[in-house]
Amino acid sequence: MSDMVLGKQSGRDKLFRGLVYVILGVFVLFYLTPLYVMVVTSVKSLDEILSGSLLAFPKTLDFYGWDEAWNNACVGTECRGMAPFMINSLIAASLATVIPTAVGALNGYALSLWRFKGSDLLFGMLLFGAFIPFQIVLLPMASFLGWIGWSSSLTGLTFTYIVYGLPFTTLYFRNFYVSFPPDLVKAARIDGIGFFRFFWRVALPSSVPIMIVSVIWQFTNTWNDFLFASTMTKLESATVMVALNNFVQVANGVKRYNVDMAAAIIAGLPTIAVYLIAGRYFLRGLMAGAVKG
Amino acid sequence: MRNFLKPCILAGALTLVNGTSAFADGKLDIIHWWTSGGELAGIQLLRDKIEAQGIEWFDAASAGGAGTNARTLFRTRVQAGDPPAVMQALGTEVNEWAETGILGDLTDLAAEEGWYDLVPKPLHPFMNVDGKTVAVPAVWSQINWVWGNKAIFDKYDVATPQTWDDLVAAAKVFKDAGITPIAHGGQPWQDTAIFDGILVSFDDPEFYRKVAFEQDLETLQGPMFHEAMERLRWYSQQLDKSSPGREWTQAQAMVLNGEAAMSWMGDWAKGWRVTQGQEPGVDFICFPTPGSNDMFVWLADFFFFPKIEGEANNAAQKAFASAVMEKNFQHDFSLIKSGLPVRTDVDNAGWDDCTRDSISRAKRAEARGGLVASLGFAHSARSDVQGVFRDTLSDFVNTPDMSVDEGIEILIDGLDSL
Amino acid sequence: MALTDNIPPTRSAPVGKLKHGTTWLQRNIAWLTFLPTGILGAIFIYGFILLTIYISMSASKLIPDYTFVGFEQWERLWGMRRWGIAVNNLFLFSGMFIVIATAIGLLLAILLDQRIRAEGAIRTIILYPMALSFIVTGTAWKWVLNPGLGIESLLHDWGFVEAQFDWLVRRDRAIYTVVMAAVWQSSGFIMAIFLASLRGIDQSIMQSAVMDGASSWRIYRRIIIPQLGPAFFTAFVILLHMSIKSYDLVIALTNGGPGTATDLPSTFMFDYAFDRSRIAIGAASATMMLFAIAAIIVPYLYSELRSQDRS
Repeated sequence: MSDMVLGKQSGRDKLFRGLVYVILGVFVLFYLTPLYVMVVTSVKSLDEILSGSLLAFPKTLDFYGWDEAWNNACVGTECRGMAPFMINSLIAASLATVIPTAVGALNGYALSLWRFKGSDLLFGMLLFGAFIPFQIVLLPMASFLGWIGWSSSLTGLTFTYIVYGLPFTTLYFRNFYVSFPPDLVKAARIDGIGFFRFFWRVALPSSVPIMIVSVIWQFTNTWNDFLFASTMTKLESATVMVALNNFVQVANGVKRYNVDMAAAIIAGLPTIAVYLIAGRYFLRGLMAGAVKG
Repeated sequence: MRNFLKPCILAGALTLVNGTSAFADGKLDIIHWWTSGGELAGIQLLRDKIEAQGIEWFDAASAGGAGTNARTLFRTRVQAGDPPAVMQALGTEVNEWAETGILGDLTDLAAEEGWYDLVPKPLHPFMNVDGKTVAVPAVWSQINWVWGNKAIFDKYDVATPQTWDDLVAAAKVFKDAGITPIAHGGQPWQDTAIFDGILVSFDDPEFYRKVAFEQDLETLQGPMFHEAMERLRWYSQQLDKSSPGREWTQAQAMVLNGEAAMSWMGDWAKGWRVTQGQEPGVDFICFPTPGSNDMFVWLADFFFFPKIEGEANNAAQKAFASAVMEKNFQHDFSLIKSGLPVRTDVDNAGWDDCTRDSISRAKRAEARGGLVASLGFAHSARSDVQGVFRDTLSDFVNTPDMSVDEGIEILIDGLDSL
Repeated sequence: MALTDNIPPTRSAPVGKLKHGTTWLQRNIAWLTFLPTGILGAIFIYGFILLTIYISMSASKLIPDYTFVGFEQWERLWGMRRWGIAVNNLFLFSGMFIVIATAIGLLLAILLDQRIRAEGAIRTIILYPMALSFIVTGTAWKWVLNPGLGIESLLHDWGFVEAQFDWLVRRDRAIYTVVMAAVWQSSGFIMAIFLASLRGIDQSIMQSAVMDGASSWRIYRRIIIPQLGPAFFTAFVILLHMSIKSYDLVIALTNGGPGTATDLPSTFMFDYAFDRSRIAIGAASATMMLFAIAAIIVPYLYSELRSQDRS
């Protein structure tokens, strides 16, 4: 923390610090408002929502919204609630977290500690893939998945996530390993310790922090993806983001805001949980990547 | 049946294998966008009929934007070489897809069941492309409808508007009383749909044809089209300000609960009202867009059938087509979903006054060439032309200071750039 | 700062004397390990990019049609009023988004750097929007911004009957609500970048400045902020890249409306490629987006990788 503190040396110290807290307080309210509105609305009855104020605290807790969203939410004639879609998301997000993280670790290791001719160029080219607008690959990807028989399936979607997750995970591990003490690597190589042994014995055990970063990054990004999921799934393979978007756009009769909000919170819970549990790493992940998709 | 399927589907998801089916009678995956009100009830009726035949039904409903999301899904599936068995479509979409050669052939079935003797003539061009039957109509709908809250009309002693001037006067009464005259869902497809109603409010079939079918430059620059845009401007001034982005059902709900006096929407809005326990003539009134009593602008919902693998699946497609065209189903479906049956021999039992009115209007209109296909839903022109109208009209409705001349100029430029 | 965070070892690292008797496999294991990823990247990144660019030069309408038509579709695209609106909106949106998110991010970072109580909690709150998809938070935003239901009606209830907050439904204002929501989602991230950078600044310079009796404001303006150059650059690249790719934000909030008021190239592409029968136009617009991103990212990556090599 910097020793330089605004107003520290002046007599207006208290006033100044007060102002700092006030400004921060206003921003905190700004950031919290949408979440607050979602939560209180989800536990209000529809009557109370329509008659009362947006920000008012619920008079009575009513879990109708949660019950409906979890058990009965409908898409078309299918009323399955959210559970099947949560399972789909969980499958896709888990696989698309584990595999790219493992592959990315090896790639990053090879590209940093075992550089070969052209390895920087290859890394740069792969990294470019993290920045491309994914719209550009939608149609070719759909053709490809159809060609190998994975059209509109969870397998195909997961595959897509894995492929486009690789640039990110490779970046993380490469940037992590690149700061390894060069002497250590040199010594190991002179001793004839092989590529995989060094990776397994030395590199990997020390890279737990970046592994967590990679896991969090892949998990939240995959879970939150809408672009691929909305075009590459059908009902049985739809992820929870696609289902949520369908739920909230269907208004049969009066719009049930409590159900919508409850569904939205349910869909957001896993990533919020990951964020709260591993928030420190989450931040570091954003920083290390500094390439938000 | 559905409860029985649930575990299978779940298991399918868990093992990452999709759509493994142990059913001998084929499966039918269907993409549609009927997700609310009478539309939803209607598709449920169809589903029950299909499942009763032992065919597995995979529902890929996709809500929103009059089929936008469903179309996206369909296109990716086609791109992947894995089209669904059945796809919902509007008007010329059928023709466009048929021309790509991906659709199956139902000509034999059509001949066997005599479809072309039963189905009203105007629908034929969308069923039959280059001599091949590729699609079945499910229902056809009158678009130039206005729905009014009867209690409000009675309270302010407003008679059903017959002419455009009546409408303007009525709207003024409501506005002065603090009631939103017209409830509107401000999504581009709805902005375009109500323009269909305005185009026929001139009671001039020739004018409609020149605009909607030919996009005739002289007509678009002429005084009548100018007046049509003026009417659209007037319409845009009768709305509450929260209308942009609103779902059509939300707009109907505003009329139902008395926030607004009336709404313009095709006859599926009546189907929605019925699911809300409303009765025509008691809770709401229906009347054609003022001035269009002898005009009938229509859309039809079609189902088409891409070529897919598997004899059982092809049989399921045919069973579906057959079920849609079946006489009793047409009767029930037109009641639930609301609209007119696509067979001329359907018994009119149970129809309400609005539907009867609609049928007699269709007959009157047909006699004078006023039975016309919708522009807003891409029946009279293809989707790119309709898209230009949609972008322009929607911008026009939402930009209060855009002049009529400017709107027309943008429209003509847009059509030019195609 | 993204890539320069970690100073790489000298290039000589891998060139240590190897023991005798290494096999071909042992000598080539590094690139062989990378090979599968390289192949995937070649196909799924570069192959697909080339394919899309080719489609943008084809006659494709409803389905891909590989008849080559040159730049016809590109010309058509740039002649379209709606594309013009989308590009305009992108400039407007990314301009405001970058400036506001950077300003708020920097302000928050400076404030949080004042030995604040509960810093961790405040940071958590400022950052959580990053963890949530806009499909999730859009439901709340839409409601808060809706004049009939949200803040405007709240203000009316509180007695401010003249209060207006109807940007979401106004054609000339809706894009600002998209900016607001985007800033809400991303400014915490920018805060984090600046905060990390602030804490990396050499303390001794500042201490001597304090000794000299310079005012805080001067110290920030003259000494600290100029040292944040790399952080500004990183923030700029990230925000610009985010704004070009923004998609679910718009879908969830306005769906491009009212009318075409909040159309961006990303939503335009989707509409033309999927809803209308114009795959080639959609591909052309995706190609434009790619070019725009490449124009920023390629020099960025180049300079980052070069500066690593030099150090």
